[in-house]
Amino acid sequence: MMEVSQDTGHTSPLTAALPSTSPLSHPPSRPCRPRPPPPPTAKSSQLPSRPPLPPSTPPSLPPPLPPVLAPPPSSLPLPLSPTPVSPPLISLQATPSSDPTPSISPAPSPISTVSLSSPNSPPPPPVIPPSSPAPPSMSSIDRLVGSTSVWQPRELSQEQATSIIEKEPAGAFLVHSVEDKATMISVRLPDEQGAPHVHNVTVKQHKTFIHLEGSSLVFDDIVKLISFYCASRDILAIPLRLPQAITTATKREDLEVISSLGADFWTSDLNQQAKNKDLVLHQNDTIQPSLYIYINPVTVEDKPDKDLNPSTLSKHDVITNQNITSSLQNGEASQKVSTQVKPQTKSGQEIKYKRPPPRPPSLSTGSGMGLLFCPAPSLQTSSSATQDTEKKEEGRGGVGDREERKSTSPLPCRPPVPPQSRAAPPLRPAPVRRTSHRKSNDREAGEGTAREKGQNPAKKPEREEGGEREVDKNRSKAGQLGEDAAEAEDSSQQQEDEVNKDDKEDEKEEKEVKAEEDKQKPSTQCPPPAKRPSRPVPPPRVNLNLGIKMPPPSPARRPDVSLYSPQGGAALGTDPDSCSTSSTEEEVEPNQEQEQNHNRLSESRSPKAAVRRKPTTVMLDRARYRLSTVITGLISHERRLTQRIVELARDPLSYFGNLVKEHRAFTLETLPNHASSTELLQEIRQMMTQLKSYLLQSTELQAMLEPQHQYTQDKLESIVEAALCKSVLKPLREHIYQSLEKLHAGDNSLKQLAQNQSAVLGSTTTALGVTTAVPEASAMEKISIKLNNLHQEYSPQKKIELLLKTCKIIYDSMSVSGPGRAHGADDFLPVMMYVLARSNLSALQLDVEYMMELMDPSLTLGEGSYYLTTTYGALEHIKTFDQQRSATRQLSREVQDSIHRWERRRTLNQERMAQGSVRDFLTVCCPEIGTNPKTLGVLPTTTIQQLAEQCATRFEQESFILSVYKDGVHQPTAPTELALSVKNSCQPGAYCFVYHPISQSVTPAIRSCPKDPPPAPPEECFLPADVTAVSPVEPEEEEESLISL
Amino acid sequence: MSSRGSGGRSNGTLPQTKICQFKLVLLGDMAVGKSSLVLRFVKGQFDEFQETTIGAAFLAQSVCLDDTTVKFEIWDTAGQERYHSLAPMYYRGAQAAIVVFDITKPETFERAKAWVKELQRQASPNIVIALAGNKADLAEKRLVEYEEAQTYAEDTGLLFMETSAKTAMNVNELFLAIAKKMPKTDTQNPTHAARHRGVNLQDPDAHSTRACCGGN
Repeated sequence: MMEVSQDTGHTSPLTAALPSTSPLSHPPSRPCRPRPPPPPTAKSSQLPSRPPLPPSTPPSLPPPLPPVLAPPPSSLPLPLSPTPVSPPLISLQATPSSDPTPSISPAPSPISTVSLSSPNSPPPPPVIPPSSPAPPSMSSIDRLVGSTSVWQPRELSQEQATSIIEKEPAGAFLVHSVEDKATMISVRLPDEQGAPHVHNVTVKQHKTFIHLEGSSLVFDDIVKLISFYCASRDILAIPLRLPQAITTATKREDLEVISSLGADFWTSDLNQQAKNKDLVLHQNDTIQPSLYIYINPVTVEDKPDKDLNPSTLSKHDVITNQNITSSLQNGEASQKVSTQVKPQTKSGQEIKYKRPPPRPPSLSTGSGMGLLFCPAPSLQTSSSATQDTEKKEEGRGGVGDREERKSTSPLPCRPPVPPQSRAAPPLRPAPVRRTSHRKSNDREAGEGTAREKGQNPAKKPEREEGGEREVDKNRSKAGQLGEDAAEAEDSSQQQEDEVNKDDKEDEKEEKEVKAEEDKQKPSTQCPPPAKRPSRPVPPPRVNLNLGIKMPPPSPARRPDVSLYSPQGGAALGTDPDSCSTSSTEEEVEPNQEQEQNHNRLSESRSPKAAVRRKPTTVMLDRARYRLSTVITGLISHERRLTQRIVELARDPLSYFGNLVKEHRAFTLETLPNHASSTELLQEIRQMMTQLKSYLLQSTELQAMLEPQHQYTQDKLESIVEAALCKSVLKPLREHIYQSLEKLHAGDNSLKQLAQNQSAVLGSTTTALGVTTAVPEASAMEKISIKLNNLHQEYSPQKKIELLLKTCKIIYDSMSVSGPGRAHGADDFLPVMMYVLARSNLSALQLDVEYMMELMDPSLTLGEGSYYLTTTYGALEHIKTFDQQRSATRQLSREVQDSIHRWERRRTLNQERMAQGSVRDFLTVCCPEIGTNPKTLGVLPTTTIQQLAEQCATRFEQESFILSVYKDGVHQPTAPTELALSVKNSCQPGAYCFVYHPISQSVTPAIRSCPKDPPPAPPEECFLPADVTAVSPVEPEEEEESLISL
Repeated sequence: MSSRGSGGRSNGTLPQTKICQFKLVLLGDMAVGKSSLVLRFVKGQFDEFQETTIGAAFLAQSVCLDDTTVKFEIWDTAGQERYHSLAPMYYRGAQAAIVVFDITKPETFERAKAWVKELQRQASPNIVIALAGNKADLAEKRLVEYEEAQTYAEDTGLLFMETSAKTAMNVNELFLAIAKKMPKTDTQNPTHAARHRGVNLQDPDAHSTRACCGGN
């Protein structure tokens, strides 16, 4: 029964309708996801899983006309013109649409289409006469991508796929992979032997490429692979065909409707109708490969074509360029196409972007499409806040998915490389992206070398600091175009070697060497265009304050993808098999001082800058430089903001920076005093919440916001949270763990855990209740890497992401025994136990607490919460494991309640946050402004009197009085006044509480922020330009204490 | 993870629809079809309203109820006796529970009764409990009479339906009935009510009153 129902749970597409009551069949409208037709209000008799029919059913199709013309790729001259004229997009369009609907592409360009499902008519390539006057509103890539959910439905078993495909005409195909297992393509073969026959072919992974088993043509991702096999059958018996309804969809809306059906599309009327027509129209015609589209697959064994001479640019290069250019305009699918030029691109290993989500949520907006295929980290902009969130939502629970994607496919968005860099017209996205890849990889590579050899110390901090890579991205976008070319060149040369390597490690080494070489190269050859000073000695901290106000366009700010954005997570060091996570490598706390300088100077740097740039590239680079500057300004403001906040938090001259410092010091001081780990962590969380609360209300943050970029409050909060994690949690992480360990050593729980771990380890899988496969050694290895990374991570959010990834691996291993079967808790928990028994439990125990208590309370956890609970529960179970009964003794009430109470705590925290803050903080200086600032906690009810008492204790000064310095004068405070109302009556950041002797006439303050007393070394101390400065601030020792954190 | 958060937040752009989020816990003996039932519910809906999850132990699905979107976060529990002690972690704070038994296995009905008892004793006082006699498609092997379960459910104040994850019988109905039974206060003011229940960890409204409730 279990099995049966499991199956049925999955087979909705096949079993057609679920009877549903009307309200249920209304899809709730979901935010940010535009859906074309309003859901029918009552359709109880309808299939619940079928969305409304498209407003206009696909018109009955004329026999496929020859695709809209575009000069065949092969015959294309090499246009150097920047205008994106007829980029030869691969198009799978069957019938050119004569219904020009608004396409997502702002500027649909003529596209060479390949008839996919109408193989009979296309003229032989490359001569493609323009047959349809109206350019298709959607390229075939659009269609392919837009219908991903149809041809690659989620969680479709092979059996299900087969049964769907059987009923389809020859060429129909389904891509299915169960829980990350090998991806298969099921293809409906022609009815030659009578009975319908479905051929299953495995998609293999070769490095970062994928290819069909038995074929040596490799592709970046599944979409590309499919699009190729739609046009050419290669090893297949028949080229693939998208369903007629899709190839004939003329409107994006139609496609959306189809897409929303997912696997149910196959059984829907839409498909059936189209199929019938299709059959009539194209009987017996399906086997002919349609027109050959341009494709340039690399054979796995072959060395890539590395003709770098612009004059001999291959047609592929041209295509690449054009594609990119068109992608500039369209901002969409063409990007994918562009990457088809495989050989010229760097070896795939470098690419870290995820491939487009298999199921585009919506095709309704142009930018939506763009987003789908863009490596989110670099193109994400806050102006698209909603899109962001949508994307995130989509990525929800997709941590594992992401990983899966990564593992099966190397990113589509990777722009083509070397040749283009020289011959192409200004290509905005391309340089940006490519450089980022490149840079970040070099970074990675360089990181190792730099660290190992201890050389290039100036660079080191930057490399090691988290998110620092992003700087490079930006920097390179802005200023290192020349480098692009050089790098491109490098990479293509490297590629040759690399391609032959067997594994990534080798490639990595290779690159390390390369990076090393690069580093050593003098940056003399070609002066980098603007803003690329040669590698600097870290300048004095001049910029400390100014930096905060740095103008938005500064392209060099390092974005911090690493926090928060799931995409960022994917982009950064998330190679599933790599031991390196962002946390371990990036986050080594370096000399902050230097780091800051680096950040600021981000434009400057890197000996690599001018490496091996050839004159021919200069013009191009300049053009690209200009463009990329613009782009950079657009895309990185969010990261920039995060970074600015981080810098602000480090800036001892800012009020906030001081607050952070104070808090940190206070936390460190009190860490050993806590009686329980929960209390300890809660204290820290509260501190963070308070800081966040302060910052969100402060002018300090306002000053940093770029007026042109509006953030929603939520977005802003999450940016602030990320920055706080970095500036507060990161330095504290080590200390927190030490304290937690101490606390648990005290209560014996770790010991207990260790003892019982061996007992559980000794249990048979049956005793654990395992009913499925358990992870094999390789999976266990992956899990252990993930968990180890999780342990190293400082950000609770990222820890949870890693936990989810771990769980995903567990699920994957479980499904080995029963592909396609969905596993519930009955199955999962025992395997979880099995896995945990083989993991580092004491580390995990601390991690779980860390995550639970430090997690941003405003984050809705959902799935994360569930798996945290499960992990927590499993740990408790192990702790109380009773060998005799091989069961758990009743958990203590406390433990039983723990999750509930945890949720309560979070809720409360959230509530506080929402209310502003229950407990606020005030910084008081004594005896004068800038001196000896202390942060005091105040409640809404705290009066000045009470605050003064606190001050008396804190400063050990009985007879002083409390006044507020604002508007240039000291204003006395009434004892009965509420401290917070005094604070709130002041402009945030523009006041200072001073606890001083009664008679003291206070020296005029410069800034609202508390400052440390002199003497500071002159070169260390810079006053903000906007202040008439007096008191020197920030003694070095302060800075040191910061660093030592 | 963060995606989750902003996913919730993105509700802010949704006009005019109240969104209530509930934690629903699934209890029942092993192999009674807990996850199948939920999968049937979740997968039977429009894809786009279903959130991708890494596995079937946690699923999320929304249903529309008049002008309100009710979002269930469904927490599955392991039915094995040996993991019984972990269940409280899952059901404490849940606003709804479905206790599942297999109509062909009387012992699972007994176990279900025990769950109900435990829930009524230890879970939130106002938890909505539904009893599901699953595998109704195997009526010929039925060993738990409908009336018996029905009577029990009436006596203990539970929602009761016989369901079949296989045929989808009563699956959506069950969830819908639960959705309807969820406290009105939550519907009116999810933020407030959910907070008091202390469980709105996942409640998107909790942190965006302005977003979800502002329009109302």
